[in-house]
Order: sequence, then structure tokens, then C-alpha cells
Amino acid sequence: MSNESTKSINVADEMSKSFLDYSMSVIISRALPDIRDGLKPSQRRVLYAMHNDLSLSPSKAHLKCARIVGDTMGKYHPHGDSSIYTTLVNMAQPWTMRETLIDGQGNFGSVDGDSPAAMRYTEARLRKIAEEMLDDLEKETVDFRPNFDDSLQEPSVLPTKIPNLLVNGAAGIAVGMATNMAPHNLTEVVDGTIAYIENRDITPEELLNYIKAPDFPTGGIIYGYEGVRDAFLTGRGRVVIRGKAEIEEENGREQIIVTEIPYQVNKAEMIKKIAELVNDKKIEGISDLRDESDRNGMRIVFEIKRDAIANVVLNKLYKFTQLQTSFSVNNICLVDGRPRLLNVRDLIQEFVEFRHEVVIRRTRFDLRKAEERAHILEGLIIASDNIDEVIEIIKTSASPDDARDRLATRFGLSDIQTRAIVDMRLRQLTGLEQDKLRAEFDELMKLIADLKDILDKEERRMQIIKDELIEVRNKYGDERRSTIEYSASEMRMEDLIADEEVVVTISHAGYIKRTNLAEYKVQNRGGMGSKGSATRDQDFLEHLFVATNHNYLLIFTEKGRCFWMRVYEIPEGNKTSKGRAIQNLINIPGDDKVKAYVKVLDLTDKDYVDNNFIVMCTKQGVIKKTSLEAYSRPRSNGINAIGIRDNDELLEAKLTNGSNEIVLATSDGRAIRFNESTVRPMGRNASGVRGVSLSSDAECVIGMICVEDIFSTILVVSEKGYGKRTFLNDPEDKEPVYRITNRGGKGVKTLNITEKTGKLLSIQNVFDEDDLMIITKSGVTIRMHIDTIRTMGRAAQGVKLINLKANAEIAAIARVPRAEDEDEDENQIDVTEEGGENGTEIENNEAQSE
Amino acid sequence: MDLKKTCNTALLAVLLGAFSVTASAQFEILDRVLEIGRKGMRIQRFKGLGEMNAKELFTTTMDPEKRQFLKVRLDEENAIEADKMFDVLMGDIVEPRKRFIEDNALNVQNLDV
Repeated sequence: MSNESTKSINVADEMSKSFLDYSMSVIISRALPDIRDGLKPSQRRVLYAMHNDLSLSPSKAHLKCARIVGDTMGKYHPHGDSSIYTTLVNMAQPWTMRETLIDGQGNFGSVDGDSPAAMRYTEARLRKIAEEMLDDLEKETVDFRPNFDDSLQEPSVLPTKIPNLLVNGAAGIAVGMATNMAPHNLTEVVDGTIAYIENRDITPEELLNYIKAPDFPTGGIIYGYEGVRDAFLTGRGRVVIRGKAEIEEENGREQIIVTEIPYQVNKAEMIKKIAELVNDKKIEGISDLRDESDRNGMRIVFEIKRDAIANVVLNKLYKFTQLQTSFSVNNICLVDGRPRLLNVRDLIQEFVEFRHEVVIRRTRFDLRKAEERAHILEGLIIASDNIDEVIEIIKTSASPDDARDRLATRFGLSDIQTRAIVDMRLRQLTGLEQDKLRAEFDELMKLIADLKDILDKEERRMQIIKDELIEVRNKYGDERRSTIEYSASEMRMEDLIADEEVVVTISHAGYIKRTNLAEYKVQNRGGMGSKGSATRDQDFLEHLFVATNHNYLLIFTEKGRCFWMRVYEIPEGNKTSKGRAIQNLINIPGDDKVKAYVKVLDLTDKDYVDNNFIVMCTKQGVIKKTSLEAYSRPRSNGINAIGIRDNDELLEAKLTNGSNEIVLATSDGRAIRFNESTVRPMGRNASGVRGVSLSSDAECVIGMICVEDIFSTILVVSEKGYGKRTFLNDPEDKEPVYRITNRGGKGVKTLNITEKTGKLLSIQNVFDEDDLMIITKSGVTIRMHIDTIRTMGRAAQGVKLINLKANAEIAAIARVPRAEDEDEDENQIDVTEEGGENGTEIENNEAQSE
Repeated sequence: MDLKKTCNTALLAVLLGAFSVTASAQFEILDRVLEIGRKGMRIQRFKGLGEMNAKELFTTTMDPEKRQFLKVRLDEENAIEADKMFDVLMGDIVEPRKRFIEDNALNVQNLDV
């Protein structure tokens, strides 16, 4: 081993050099399609071999794919036979290519991912549309280059009339870059191209009127338009595709029938994956799934369980399975041998420019051929005009060369002309043939003039391009397969959750859960919660209301912050389960405390949020009203609902409609009544205005009610169990019992507070048909019909509602819907009414359950 | 070969030993000469993947008299550079790789088509 033949190279330099060779090879001649014919070299070579070497036109019989692969590989593409066969197969698969270029005979695989039969079994030939790509190839329309061993020529591009790149798309992974171009509808692409030819200044935006979206061979639904627009305008975008599904009813059971799946999804894999998700209970509500696809088409059937909602199941399939996929458009292709990212207008422009060049080159070729022919005809015509002399010269010449020399000299003919004359056949001397010669010459002259005119006028060339495009469209264009759903929004959680009615319960200690209303209906002949809820010792249910899963829950804290929850976000539990501590569900600081809950129907309904309000009051008598709109943009960390002053805390928050009447009650037995309209709406951070003036520092506000029905009664209960019911307005003379005053006053006496009664504890808006529940801290519960509590005057002392033992204290007072069967009714549940509509809903539910 | 006759249509005649071709313009002469030069020659494409016979392999690659070894070196002074290069070319982040290719696209030497 001689040393002088060893060369030292730097690893970095070598890597750089070799990598460049490799990456550029892959980029330029492997993975990326040419913008002009939309083909990668391997595809082009397969088509060219089929066309040029095997003449596999649509009218010919199919030929073994092995021969095609062999010719392609041996003549033009010195690479793996299996990859060439895959290239061939892909061009024949109708679910892979929007317009297949090859007509395959035999097993070419399936949308289930089955592999095609080996190339020794399958056969193929070109499809008609592929011929449109190869036409005029012999007319010097495109540059040819030597093949790998310089023994043959191959086209560097095909002179396609089909805008193949847009129609069939492309996918390829090069080095440092990749391409993924979507297929489109031929009719739309042709229309868009013509629109561009007619108006070169057309914007990509305007082209969207013609080419609306990608059009996948497998159909499906293009869901949402933003990604499509991005892809068209910038060359990059994410197109969401959904399978086509319909919900049908069969024997009273619902079924989801899928007839189309997203592009490039393997059906068998997809079904297998769905079955796994169903078995793992990740997708619920499917009792059975079958693939009923056959040679006539695709049909996947999902049987829906009786209690499931087909739409919700379908949305889950979209969300969690390949029934919805996305196609990331990345329009990278080779322009003049360099990779570029192009938008839809660039693509069309480059294609038109290429067509223009092809038309020019084809016309030049035709012109040259015509002129050559005319040149010969000219000679022949001269010869036939002087036929006797010509014959004489030929007869007297020693050799053909001699004859041609003499003819050339005599008539001033060219080499080519004299050769044609010498080659003339005797039949051409007949009168008929002579006329034909002249007619052909005249025709040729016209043709030549026409071709020259074409070469002169760009306008005419453009017309030709248009005419050929229209011809292509009329021959091969078809309806779009992928339908477009323009207004699709991101799939939200609520699409996956049925909007069912649930009962939400919140315990005094803040344990929250939701329970399907049906459970109450079935088990609750004895009334709401006859068995009660599993609460911790000393805990009890403080709030109970009916909501639907899509409703919102606004949660207000002592320090004036507001948090959101969707009802479906509340942990689900059965009637006896405890639920979860609310602190664990919202980001509430440790030193804050949940004080009030407000159920809100829909924060996205503008009309609703603009016409409803949140009214809050604090312990120190401040009241504040804010439009619900201010709470319609949930933030996970909560927002400030009210500015709480020092030594004050939020007491209550309620939903109002803007025309309620508000009653605030204070611990010294006074109540103030005023119209909600006297509290002007303020921003979220405002502190509010004076609602009631407290008589001394020792007193505080104990409750707020927002009244809709002014002929309803209010019930007040004192610390020592005294209570009474008073009309807000006298039903007889319609006069207010509680005078309506301006807010900010001290209010009027609502319960005569004495040593015996203790301070005022609770104020409730109650109705005859409700029950009242009083729970002591030791767990004693008393339940009574509201209508058994006599209505009294405003300043009366009230009656004893509960006998409290020494040191016993009332923990909570709640208005609950009346139980229908009193005997079984040993209720542990306390229900605080949560604003008018909740109470009504509970009543309705009871009515339903009967 | 009658030069006069050839000149009747072609502008130029190229005579090279026993070969003669015609050219219609001066710039075609080189092409024509190359055409003659290629006659009788055969081009084969060797990737080193089994296209060669043992003898061909010897003469083209293995002959101790003619062969050349490339000694790939990783020296201390260029270790950082090499490390960077490997990162760019084979690392997880695509962007620098793309930039490298774009910046050096014109320096490519051997394209495998």
C-alpha cells in the first residue's frame, strides 16, 4: 500500500460534499414533481417506457407489469424494481390518484391496504388521459436528454395537456424539504386556468371561485375552509377531511353508515382502531360495527346503543379516529430544476407558460414539416409540368445520381427535390394525381400561413391552449367528489357530550357532582334525594338544581372572584356519591371560599348575555350589577367580579333579567326593597354602590333575594328558629307591604328582633307549593309545607318554626320542591333556591316524573 | 465522397479519417466531431453495486498502482466544525439543513439521476 495514494480529507468537508450530492439528487431527480407535468422522474419514465418502448396505448392489450418495470428500469431508471412497480401501481389505483393514468388489469391492491399482486401477475396499459400527457412528444415539444448510459434519449418533461400537478397532486419526502400537494377536480382546474389566461392579473383569491378546494379521489367532506384558503393563497395549509357518514334508523335503532373515508386512510386499519377504542370504552355508544363494503362500494355500519345519541358518537369518531384526518398542503415542486413553494396562481401560471412553450414548439415543428413537404411538392409540380423532359433526362442518364444532377441543373431543384422526383411512381403521372398534388400544395400553403400566423400572435396561441383545455375538460372532467363544508368550526367538547338534563348538587362544604336526572326520576318516587347523598359528617347538600350538560356554572368567591365551569365538567356521580371538592376543580386560592353559584344557560348567545345581569351583594351592604356579557369569556384562572373593600366579603350573587326587584335583609331584622333598575350596570372590577345602610358596625347583610313575582311571599328566619311569611305586595289591595324605596336606605322592619328570636339569619322568596327545610348544625332536619306557615304582617315577631335545644344552631335554611310522598320523606337534602328559574325547573322535573 | 455534391445542401462537410458528416452551421461542427468520436464506444454506468466484472473492478478501483485511499480525519481543530456539520446535516431540526442545501445547491458535483 503506497502512501502517496492516500489522501487526507476532513470529515466535515466530506460530509458536506457527499451530503450535497445526495440531497440535491433526491431533490432534483427523485422526490419532487416538476411543476410542468406534475411528475416525478420515476413516474415520467414509467409512462414514457409504456408509450415509447411498449406502445401500450388504451387500444392495445394489457401487458405484464414486469415488462413495463423491466423496460423502465433497464432503459431509463436504474433503481429498484419494487419502487418502480409501486410507482406504476399508484398511478393505477383509483383511490390514490384523482385521475389514474394507468389502466391496471388484475389485483392492484385495495383501500384496505392490501398489497397488489406481484408484477409477474398484473398487467397494465396507458389510460386515455395519459395519452393526453404524451401527445406531441415526437414533435420536438420538449427537451430530451440522454439516459443514464447515454444510449437512449428520454424526455425531461412530458408535453401534457392535462394540468396534472393540480389534478393529481403529489407527495414526496426529499432532504430538508418535502412536498404534499392535494389533488383537485379537473373541471375546476381547467376553469381556473382559463380564467387565468383571460385575466393574467387574477388574484389567488379570485381563483378560489373556480378551484374551490382540493378534490380527493376518495371523496369525503372537506371540513372548514380556512385551511383550504391558506393552502391556495400561500401554498401551505391544513385541510381537514372527514368521512361521509349518515345516520339511519333500522328497527328502531340508530346506525351510522360511513360510505366515504378520508384520503389516504387505510379502511381496515381505521376500523380496527375504532374497534379497539370501543372495546377500551374510549368511545362509548357503539354496540356493533361491521364493514359491509363490497365490489359495489364502501359501507361501514356502526350500530348505536339505544341510550346513546348517534350524533355524539359520530362526533367522537371524528375526534378520536381517522374518520377525520387532515391533509397538510405544502406545495413544493421543481421550477426550472429548483424547489419552490407555490400558491395556486403560481401553479397555474407556470402551467400556462409551459403549455405556451409546447404550443410554440409544436407549431414550429409542424411548420417545418409543412415547409419541407411543400418544398418537395414544389419540385414534383415542376416535374409534372415538364414531365416529358424529366422522363427524357432520366432515361438518358447513366445512374440515379447522374439523373438527379442533370435535373437539378435543368430546373434549379434541390437535392431533396430531385430525390423525390427520381423516386416518383408512374401512377403519379395520371391527371387525378396531378390535381391532388396541386390541391395538397394549396392546402399546405394555407396551413403554412396559418402556422406562421400562430407563431406571430400570442393571442392565437392562448386560444389554442384554451381550446385544448376545454377539449380535455369535456372529455375527462367530472363532478367533484369531496363536498365542502365551509362553516366548520373546531370541534368543541360539547359536540362530544349530549346536552342531557342533570341534577347538580353542591354541599355546604363544597362537594359538587352531577347526576343524570333519570336516576332521580327512577329512584325517587319518594321525592328528591330520599336516600340522600353521601356527605361527610357535618356536611349537607346546600344547593341542588337541574341543568343541562351544556349550561355554564358561574362560581363566585368571598373575595369577589368569578370562575367558570361547564356543567359537563362537573364530575359525574350517582345519587349517593359524594362528589368532588370544588377547590380541586377550579383554580381558587387557598384563602378564598366559594360563596355563590349561578347557573347560566348559554354564554355564546349574544341576546341572552346582553339582556341578563349578575347582581351581587356584600356583607357590608354594597350592591353591584354587571351585564352577563362581562362574564361570557371564560378564563381558567378566573376573573374579578367585584372589587371587595377591606373588611367586606361577597355574600350573594344572582342572575337577573334587569327588571327584578331586590330585597336585602340585614341581621337586625330590617329589609330594604328597591327596583333593580336603580342599580346601574357597572364594569367587572367596580366595587358597586350602597344597597343598604347598616344601623351599626355590629350588623351585616344576611341575604339578598331577587324577586320576579311581586305577589309572592318572603320568608325570614331568625337564629333561634322564629320565622314568618309576609307578602311582598298585598294580593288584595295590590299595595306593597314592603315599601319600595331608594336603595341605600336602612330599610323597614321585617322581623321584630328580640332576645327571644335572636338575629335575623335568612331570607327566602317562597311559594305555597314548596317545602321549607331547616337543618341544624347537629344534623336535625325539619321539613314543612310552606303553605302551613301563615302569612303575617311585616313587623310581626313570627312563629317558632323549629324547637332548638340549648346551644343548637341552625346551619341552613332552604326552599325545596315539595316531596310527593311524605311518608318516605326523611330528607337529608337541603335545597337552596338558586334564582327563580332553577326552582321552576325542579318543579317541572317533578311533574315529569309522575 | 463528392464534396461538391455534399455542399449542395449542407454548408459544411466534416471529414475525419474515414468518417464524414455534414453540418449546416459552424457551431454544429463540434457536435459532429464528438458524434464521430463516440462511434464504436460504449458507455457504462457504474455505481459500485455489482455492475462490474472482477477485472473491471480491479482496473477502476482496486489496482494498488492507481487506487486512491481517502483517509477521513477528525482532528481536534476541526472537531467542533465537524460536530456542527453533523448536526446540520443529520440533526432533528430541518430548517438549518434546508438552508445549507439552498446555500450550497450550486456547488453540487455529482447528480445521481
